[in-house]
Amino acid sequence: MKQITTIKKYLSSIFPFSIESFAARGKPFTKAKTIVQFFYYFLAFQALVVINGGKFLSQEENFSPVWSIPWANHLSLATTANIIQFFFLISAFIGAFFFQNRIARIFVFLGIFQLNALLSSVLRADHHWYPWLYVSFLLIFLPDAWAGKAHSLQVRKKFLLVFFSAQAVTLFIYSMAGLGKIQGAIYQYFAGQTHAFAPEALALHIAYWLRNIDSTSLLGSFFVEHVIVGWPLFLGMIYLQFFSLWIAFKPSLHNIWAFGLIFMHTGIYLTMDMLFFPTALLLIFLFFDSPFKKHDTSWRETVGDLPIFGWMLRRILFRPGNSHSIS
Amino acid sequence: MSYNFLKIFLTSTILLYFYMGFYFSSHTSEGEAYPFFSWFVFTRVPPQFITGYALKIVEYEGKKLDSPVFFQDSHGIYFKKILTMTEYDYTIRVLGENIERGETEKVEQYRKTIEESFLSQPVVYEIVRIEFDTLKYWKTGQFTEGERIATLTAKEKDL
Repeated sequence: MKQITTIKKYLSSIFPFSIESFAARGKPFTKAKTIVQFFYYFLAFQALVVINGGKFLSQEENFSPVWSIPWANHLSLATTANIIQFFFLISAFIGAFFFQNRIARIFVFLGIFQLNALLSSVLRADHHWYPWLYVSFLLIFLPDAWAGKAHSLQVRKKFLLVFFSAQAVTLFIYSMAGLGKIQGAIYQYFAGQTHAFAPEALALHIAYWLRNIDSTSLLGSFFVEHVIVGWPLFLGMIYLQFFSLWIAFKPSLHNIWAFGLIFMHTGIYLTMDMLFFPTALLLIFLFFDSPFKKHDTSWRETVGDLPIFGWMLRRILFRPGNSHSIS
Repeated sequence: MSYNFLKIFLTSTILLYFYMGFYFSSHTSEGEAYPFFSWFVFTRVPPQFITGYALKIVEYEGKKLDSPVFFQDSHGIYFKKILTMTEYDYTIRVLGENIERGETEKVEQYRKTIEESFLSQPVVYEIVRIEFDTLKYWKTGQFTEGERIATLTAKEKDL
């Protein structure tokens, strides 16, 4: 028990992030409620955009239903797509109108769950909408926070905790992607192979991927021809990805980091012709105006929160006598 | 649900999800099981020098070709439809790998896929080993043709 308390104290010193302190103020809670509301409004819009059973017709021979849609084994791909997309449309609009109700949020989750199942049943798993799936699952556990004007501290704490978990799971995905690259780099370094920290890593990824998908991209040629230009960008991408979960506990960096990740997705699209814009949209929702970011955060605190660079610069940023020193 | 219970539940759920993602990445042939995923993507840098395989058509409708043609250069002549590299490259590569390994059953399986999916006429074709520099191949399409490892005939009844 004593060890757990010691660990908790140590973690609190590194991550001075307290849901309780945010819940005690009114603004973070109100902001989080608004963001959740627009999350469900946007899903209703997205349901209208994805309705297009015809686009699946050419993939009939690659249709292999995943476990969650066993009934699709007896139907054609087009029929399955129409049923699932219609269900997604209905569930999304139920969510848009009744997001305050937990049953409606469960419906929305089921709609996205089946839509992702459909996408994953054609050729290979499609991960673009997975983060929306995770967030819609976690939001099921929001407390009833819309009836009436006054809400107890407990309700505000639970609401912000669930919202924070949605932010954390989204950033966890990026940290796992970064961890995978670092793990692969260590393996390849000791195997004597070209690894992720080598200058030509990005150029090789681009050339190999575009060849495999038989495609071109706007900036792919440039980075294959100018290997050294891509090197710092690729290292920056690994840094952005790996430390993402850390940023969940550093609200001063929420919007900047989200911008960095969106910039990364844009770069991936321009070089490798891979779209991950659904995830970029989720980053905008959850982080561009994070309920946990204080508006009077100083630039010193923001820079000081940066992984590695912030740790190195803290001594300079927060010299004794500096009015922005922190304990 | 109390606040502390909710905190433990949410944390456990997220951690369990990623554990399951790792579990299925090493226990399934696809490396994942919906909706679990490890998110370990692009973890290995592709090698600069690659040995691959290509399909070369040497005989068409019983007539030997003066200049045998690689599959990717024979669009519209020998295909049922125009195909992109993603649709045939993997199958040809796996066929070549299985021929080299002597996996007879898998050779028949991938051969059947190629002949039924990609070849629209009876042809005699070769599987050849090729080598290329990833960056040079992408810029110029150049590769070095190596040894022929198999000559196969797609008969009309197989199509």
